[in-house]
Amino acid sequence: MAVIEVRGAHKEYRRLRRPPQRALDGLDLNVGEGGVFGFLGPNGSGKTTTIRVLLGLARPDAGEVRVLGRPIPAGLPEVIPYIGALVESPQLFPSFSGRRNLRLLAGVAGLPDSRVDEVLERVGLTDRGGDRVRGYSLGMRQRLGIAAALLKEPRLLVLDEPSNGLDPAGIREVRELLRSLGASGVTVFVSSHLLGEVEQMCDHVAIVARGRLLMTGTVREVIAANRQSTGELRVVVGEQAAAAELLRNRGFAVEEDGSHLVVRGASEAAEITRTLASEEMYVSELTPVEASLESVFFELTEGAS
Amino acid sequence: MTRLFQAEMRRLAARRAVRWLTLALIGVLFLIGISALRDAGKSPGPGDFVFRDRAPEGANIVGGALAVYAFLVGATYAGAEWAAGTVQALLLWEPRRVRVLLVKITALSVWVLGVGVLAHAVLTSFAAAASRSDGSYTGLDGHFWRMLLAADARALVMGVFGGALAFGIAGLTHSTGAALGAGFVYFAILEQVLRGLVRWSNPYLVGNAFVAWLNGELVIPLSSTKTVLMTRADGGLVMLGYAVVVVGVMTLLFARRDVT
Repeated sequence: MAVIEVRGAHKEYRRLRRPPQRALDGLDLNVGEGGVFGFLGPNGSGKTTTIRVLLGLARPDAGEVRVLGRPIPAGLPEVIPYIGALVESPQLFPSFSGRRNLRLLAGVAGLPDSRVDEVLERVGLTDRGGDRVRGYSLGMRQRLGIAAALLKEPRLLVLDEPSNGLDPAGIREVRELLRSLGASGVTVFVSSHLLGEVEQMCDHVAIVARGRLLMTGTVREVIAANRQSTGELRVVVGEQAAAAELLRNRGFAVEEDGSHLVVRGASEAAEITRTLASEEMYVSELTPVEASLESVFFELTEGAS
Repeated sequence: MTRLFQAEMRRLAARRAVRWLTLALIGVLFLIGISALRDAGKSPGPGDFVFRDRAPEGANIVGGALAVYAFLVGATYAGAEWAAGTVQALLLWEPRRVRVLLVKITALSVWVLGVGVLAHAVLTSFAAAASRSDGSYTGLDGHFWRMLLAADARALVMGVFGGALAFGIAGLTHSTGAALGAGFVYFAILEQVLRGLVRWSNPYLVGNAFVAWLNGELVIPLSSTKTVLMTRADGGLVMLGYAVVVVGVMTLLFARRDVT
């Protein structure tokens, strides 16, 4: 079952004396149940708008949006008890303590105060729960926002840049928390700029730019699809400059990168070895360049813009 | 809905600004009461503090003070929420926006009514003490108590009106400061200008509506030869009209606009 379904979503923001800004331009998105789903895109690509639309905070101009099987926004009241969310920065009363902020929210859903203490412990804020939010660091506010999102024991957790302001240890803790939630059956939908984090944390990803979906699939699928299209090979050869010249003359794209060559345009590795061997240059190492999610992201999004 | 209401009441009670304002209101009424008590004790011969006459005056004092108090509380209640962005956080728990607003206004009104009842109790107690110490505490028949209760109820309505109006303005402007500024500019400048220069508008001024509502009627000169009588019902209608328009527009925009 799809937990999130978006079909042809359009959204424009009208601006005074300026042309309207198109945030979503026919976005399609499908997020299955369970696991961690990474939602990636450069600034202004429509990530936050998508999240706001999913949560009923913004209305799409056109298109269909369903969350947990219910149409949004009409069906949101039925499914909101199962959705935990953190949109942009945590929205909390600065003059109240972290615990009081959470208790006020828990009170709306009739959750016991003990649940507040549980989530504070889960995000490592038990000792600071009684302090005013005004005195919290950015990372602590972020943890409190995540705690608020966890209060309901959600089936769907929507987090917009949850690692904002966290130190490396905090980033790792959040990563492990989200992975464990995803493994336990919660669907975690997370937008992030930290591509390395997403690669480690997410099972599936979607990459968007200019309000459109560019690619979606498992992390491996997305990376593999990109590698096939670029076909970069790392070649270590004794006479590097001469080898580069030879390969260029034979129609390959070659870059010299320190102690090795990066060659593109070969349909198979044997083409390289055969070409070089024909001139008595022998390859000592030949490996496919491993694409990362980061390289895929930049290639796709730079192409889109 | 009940849980949301309870959460809103807890939030109101927890706000420092609301606590200080409540303390200030009750403190001012205490000072007025103590002053009345001292004056009653000073007067030579038989006292002139007649409870039957002075208690309804106290109700009017409470009405004015409560309206100002409710305006300040309403402005900070809605404005702080927009400033902190917690409206958005709340919508992630209760996405029915009109319901959220309804509960908030109800919570604010119940709070103001509660404080208003306390304020009446304070001032009426002082008035009773002053009249008993040096004055008259007689003639308090059923008709008097009904009249006093009606005066108290009118004061409470003024409080609810002040709160709703400020809540609406702060909700429209998303700012406590803007709501307070609008209130100040209206009463200190705009209404004075309109009172003197645009006479035909006088029956629609909030200040006049307050006076008519509390006193029962108000004669408003429209020109050197023409006057108009503003009744209590007229005053109530003017207040209700402003509250409905401001809160209605705010509700409509809140229900339709994206929340950021």
